[in-house]
Amino acid sequence: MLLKIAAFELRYQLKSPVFIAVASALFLLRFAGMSVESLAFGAAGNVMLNSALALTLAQILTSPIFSFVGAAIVAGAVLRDDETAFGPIVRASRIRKADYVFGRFLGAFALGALMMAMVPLGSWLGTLMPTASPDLVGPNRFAAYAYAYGLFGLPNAFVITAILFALAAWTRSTMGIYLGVIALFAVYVGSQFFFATRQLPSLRALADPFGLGAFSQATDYASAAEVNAGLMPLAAPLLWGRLLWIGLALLLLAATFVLFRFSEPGLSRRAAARLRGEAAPAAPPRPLAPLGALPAPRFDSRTARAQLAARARLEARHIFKSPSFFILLLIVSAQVLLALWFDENMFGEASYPRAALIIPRIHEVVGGLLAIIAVFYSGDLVWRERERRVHELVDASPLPTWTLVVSKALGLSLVLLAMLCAIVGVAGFMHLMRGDGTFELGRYLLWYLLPAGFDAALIAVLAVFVQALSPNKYAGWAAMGLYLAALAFAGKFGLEHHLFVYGSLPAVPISDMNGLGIHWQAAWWFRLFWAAAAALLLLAAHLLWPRGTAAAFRPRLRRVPARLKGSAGLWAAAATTVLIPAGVWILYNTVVLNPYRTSAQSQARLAEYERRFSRYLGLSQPTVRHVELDVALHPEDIRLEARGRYRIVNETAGSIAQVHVRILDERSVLEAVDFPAATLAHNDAEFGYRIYRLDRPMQPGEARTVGFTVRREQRGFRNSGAEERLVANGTDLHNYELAPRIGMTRHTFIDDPDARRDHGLPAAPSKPRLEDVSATLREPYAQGLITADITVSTSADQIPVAPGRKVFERVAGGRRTIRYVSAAPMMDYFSVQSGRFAVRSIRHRGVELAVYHHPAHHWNVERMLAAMRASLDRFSAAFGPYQFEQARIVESPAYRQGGQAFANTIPYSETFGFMVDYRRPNALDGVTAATAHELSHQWWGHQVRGAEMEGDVMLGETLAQYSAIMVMQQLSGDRAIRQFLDFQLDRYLSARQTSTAAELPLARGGEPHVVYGKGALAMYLLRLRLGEEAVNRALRRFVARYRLAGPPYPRSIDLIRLLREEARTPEQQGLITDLFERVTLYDLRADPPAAVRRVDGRWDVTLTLEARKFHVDAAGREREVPLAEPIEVGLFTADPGSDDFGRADVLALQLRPRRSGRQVLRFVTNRRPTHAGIDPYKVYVDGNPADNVSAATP
Amino acid sequence: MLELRNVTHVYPNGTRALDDVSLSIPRGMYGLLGPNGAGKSTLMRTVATLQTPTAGTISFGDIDVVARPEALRRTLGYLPQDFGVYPRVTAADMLDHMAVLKGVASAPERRETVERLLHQVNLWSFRNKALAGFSGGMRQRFGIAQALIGNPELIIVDEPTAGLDPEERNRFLNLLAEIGEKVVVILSTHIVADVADLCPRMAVIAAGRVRLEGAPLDLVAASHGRIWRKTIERTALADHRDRFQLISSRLFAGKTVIHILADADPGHGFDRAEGDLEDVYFSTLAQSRRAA
Repeated sequence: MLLKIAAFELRYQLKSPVFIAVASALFLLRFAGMSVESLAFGAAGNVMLNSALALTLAQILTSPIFSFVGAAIVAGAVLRDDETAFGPIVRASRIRKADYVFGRFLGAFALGALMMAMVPLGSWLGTLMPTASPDLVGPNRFAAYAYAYGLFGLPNAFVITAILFALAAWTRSTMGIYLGVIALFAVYVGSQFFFATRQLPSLRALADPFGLGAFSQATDYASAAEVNAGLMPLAAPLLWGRLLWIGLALLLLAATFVLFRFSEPGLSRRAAARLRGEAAPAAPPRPLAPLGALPAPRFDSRTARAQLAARARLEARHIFKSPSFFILLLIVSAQVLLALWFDENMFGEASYPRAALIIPRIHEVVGGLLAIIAVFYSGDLVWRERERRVHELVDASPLPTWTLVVSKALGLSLVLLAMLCAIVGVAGFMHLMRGDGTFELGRYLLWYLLPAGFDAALIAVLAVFVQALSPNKYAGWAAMGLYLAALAFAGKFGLEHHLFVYGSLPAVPISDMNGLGIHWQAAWWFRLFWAAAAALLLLAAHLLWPRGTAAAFRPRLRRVPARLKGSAGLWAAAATTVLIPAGVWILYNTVVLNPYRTSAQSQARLAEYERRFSRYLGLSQPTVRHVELDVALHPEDIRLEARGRYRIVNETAGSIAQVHVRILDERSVLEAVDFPAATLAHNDAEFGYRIYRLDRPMQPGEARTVGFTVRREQRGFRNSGAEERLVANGTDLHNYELAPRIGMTRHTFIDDPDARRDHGLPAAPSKPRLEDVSATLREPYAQGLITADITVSTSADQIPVAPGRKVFERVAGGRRTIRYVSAAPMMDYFSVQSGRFAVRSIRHRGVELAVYHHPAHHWNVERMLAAMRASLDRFSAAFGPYQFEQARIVESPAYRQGGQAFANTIPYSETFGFMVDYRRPNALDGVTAATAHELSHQWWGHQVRGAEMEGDVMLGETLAQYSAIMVMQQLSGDRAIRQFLDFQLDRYLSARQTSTAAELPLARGGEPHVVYGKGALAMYLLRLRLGEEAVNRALRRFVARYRLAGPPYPRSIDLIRLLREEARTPEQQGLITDLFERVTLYDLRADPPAAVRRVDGRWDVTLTLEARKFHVDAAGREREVPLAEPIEVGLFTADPGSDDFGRADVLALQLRPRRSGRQVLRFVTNRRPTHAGIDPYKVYVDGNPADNVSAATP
Repeated sequence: MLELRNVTHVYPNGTRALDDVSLSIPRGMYGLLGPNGAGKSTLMRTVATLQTPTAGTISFGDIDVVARPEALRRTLGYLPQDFGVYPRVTAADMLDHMAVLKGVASAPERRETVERLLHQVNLWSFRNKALAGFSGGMRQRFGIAQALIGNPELIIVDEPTAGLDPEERNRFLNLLAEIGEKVVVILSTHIVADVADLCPRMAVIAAGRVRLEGAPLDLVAASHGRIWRKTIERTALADHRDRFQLISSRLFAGKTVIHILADADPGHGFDRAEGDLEDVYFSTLAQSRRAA
């Protein structure tokens, strides 16, 4: 009986359109992703798409989808009988409750299992297609599929079905189930987020019903090679998590069975009260008086208005009185609150609440949710009359159809507006709790409420239209689901113009200092266009509204022409007269006035550039040695004009007959070049590339002058990529964007090997090998050292900033002009900025240290200055003198990420430290770290320029990380260093998996996770073993040798050689080899320490350790090598990773040689240790740093 | 007043719910009799502009109903056979809302409308109760009230007395009769007595076609002398069904009373019966079934 019921359920629901649609979509998605490379989702670097890791991730990510589809399935299984009123008949039959409940459950579970099976099935068939890329698809392993499905797919289907089943049985309503699912999701996301930020990974793993947390924990640090070799982790937390949830699901199922109401539902208290009310004796019927004439109806505009108001009130009341609305409101508010409350930057620091930071975060967190709510309510509202069977009453009334349509769209907009207001309320709460007294209400209104409300209304209108046309609510929902997918993914399919998809808009990045900039204009033009389209949709909904029982679509369509006569036609005409001019205006701006290119076209343009000009790469060209530049910025018009002159010198051994002058940034136009005694031999205006033939070739050592004029301005608006460098407040340009370059370089070449292949370009030559000594003779990145004389003028309320000493300032005619002169040689790569800055500056050791900042961002200016001062002190003492007379941090709008070190000028994004709130205890002083890092680049990158070849990035970034650690140690303390290193280790290990190239050792590598992440750890460990003085001695000698020098430029091994000269022992030499010349991994772990009290009151502690060391070869293979080096072992009275750990908690810290394998150590301590382990501060690169230290078992 | 010409409606699944229906319905009460599934409700919904006929024309006065449904709706009162209500809305609020929808925009006029109608259908004491909690009869009374808002010229009531107790039914029929003096009222029902009591004119509809049309009195008179009655044992029913044109059979005190149609005395112990509308109705149905 039970199986028969299950089989019936399965058969019955297999035919449901929802199941068929979603199952086939899942299948096709996987199938397409496997067989067509460009459609591959979730491809992560070198990890094969059919590895157990990728399959499992796909399986896990299907689970949330199944939660929503499964809700429909389970709702069918549990509620169908009641909804169709068939329940009493079923319950009156001889069926047993167990058969009924478990049969229905099994049926629903089978459907879930089937849906989950679409993932492996689609994947497997996809891999068999001839189109499957051999680079991304490895050999199929049955075990991998079985692992993904058996450990995740099937259990997740079971767990989810059980939860939904309980929800269905408990709430007895479809709405209840969906709300339950949404609520659980909110709790899920919130708790995951909470555990993640609180560093509670094991709780996070256990609390994850889908197994994602535990799985990613088990695989986060696995390398691509391990994964492709078939790694299938079976770590204990993972298995426990799975068992826990299956057990919970079984319990839930049992509870559902016990509590399942199988008999006829009794009367609720309210229903009973209602009945009593009715049973109360009615007033005796009055004798029937003749009815007579009632007030007569009138049909004028006043009535129409009253009708619209009445309908809108009805819709609003319906929504605001429904519990679902409040639950959703709570969920949305809670999501936003959680996200804002725990929002942290990469250093784990929170910012002051500012609208400019909070609004993008809100979009990120609930943007999708709001769209889903709009879709959800559209179905609810449009189908309400029919579901409640009020439609015949309403539809036979003389109510004009448009009032029905408009009131539904209004009602829906009202729901969304209420949500938005709640969100703004949450933001206000953040300002109240965390802010400094500012609320920025106007900004929330103009930057969020208005545009987001408008966009929500656009979706609401479309949803109402779709539901009006749809044969049922579910089809409408599905269509809207497709629409939302199209909105998100159209760009991926080349439909990048925002006119392609209804409601699509150019992005509006928000900056606290520059506001919405000019970005809002483009967005609102598109909004105008879409508003007109929405009006037409409303009209179409009006014309096609399913009034009465006219289910068929065709008859409705046939009546459209007739119904268009009259005011409907006028409205259509009015909307069209807005739509067409707005569309034409948008096209004029985005296609005619500004170039419109898809990303494929942009890439093709780069490829074309390379094809046309790469032949000039080897050509001898003169070097720029002096720059005179006069930049007239007009920030209010987004326009600039730059005039300048270069002194160019032939520093080659031969004569130079032609000089190539080109502008790299397409937005800047090279208007004129003044090249005396030369003729323009070739002018490629499309790419801004000019070739001048010299009347008389330049002889070696000869210098000449070239003048130029460059214009840059934003005319109209763009579809995407609006000007973010030259802006109203916070212009942040560098000279490549302002001025031409001499000679051809590889700067703009495409890096991605696949893209190069697609465009028929030869494989990019890799950087010169470390052994290629000839590369050390070339000017790195074709950026010579120059002197400069730069005049920048801007509006009078702004301060222009350029490198060098300010020698002149004038404010006249509403413009401020400042001239900066750089006598000290600096790189031919410098920044020009302008903004309404407040300036805080001090003189220290004869250097002007200054922070140019947005006046509202005053919080961390002193901290930056302190870091600059300490950096200057420490670096000058340790590495050698500073080369400039000034060092300026200049704030830049949020369009820039992080900071960048130009000569004596550091553009520093407003989101990068300026707004961090240090009133709250912060371990990691990110501002100090970043400031010291960037300032040290004045040595590492500006004074010492590595040859452009393997390992050169290390000479800049790794040494800057080291320098930052030096300053942090002084200003921020040990705990900050520890967290800094934890962060670097995590960064390195996580990125190892997703990195596409084989990992090179530090001496050759250039990937960020290697040079920043591992580099910081390596330098820290080296400093620990050699001593800071020895390391700094080597660095000082390095600087002295290469400071501002010409060729040969240094290589990484030149630094390593100096470091080796400081190493005193073979162990230290070996360490240098391991750190810089090899990829070395450690596996260090400790068992819980065992402590026994001695007679003298002290403790005998036994600690069992295990240590291993691996070298990773170029193919990513790990090979164990003998470990024989000293590594710290420590005993503590607190967890060394915890926040309140201090020096007093160290019972013993012993640095002795360790060897590979297990080893037992004995200690005698005064107090009983609670924690003990090897490498307790995690300075070695260990794939599983969490087991270095173990807690004592009490 | 209301003219239906060759109205045919075919549902997408091929069901021919109305088949070439032509009717001319004058002012006054008009009864539409037919068994379940005969097409009555389809006809009512079609006239009430909730469905567009596949073919044919409908006009009310000078309104072309198919082309300009919105014009008819301005003067239409419609009580569907089966309707639901919004949750959490009281009777008075809903009636008020319906009054707005029907074009009574001014608040005092609406108040008057609601008040008088609620009294009329005896729901005044329940005006502040949620409609969702109403019993079938109360809900039906509400339906009647809303159909009367704004003095409609055409009132369509589909199975209005279903679910009413005898007292309520009387009250309702009286109300209809009063209104029916001035406007067109179409009353669809399968209860012959409703029509017999009220309607000066009627039609019988079965399987989508009009089987009989006329004034009940004339129809009854025309059947005069052709209806014969006999009381038989239950077991003899099949035999009689084969031999005579059986109109109806019903049980009375344990015996079966049958009516047959015959132009002359059929003998076999049949007595002449005073034919009534029910006999006319059943004989029409019997004939239409035979024709099918």
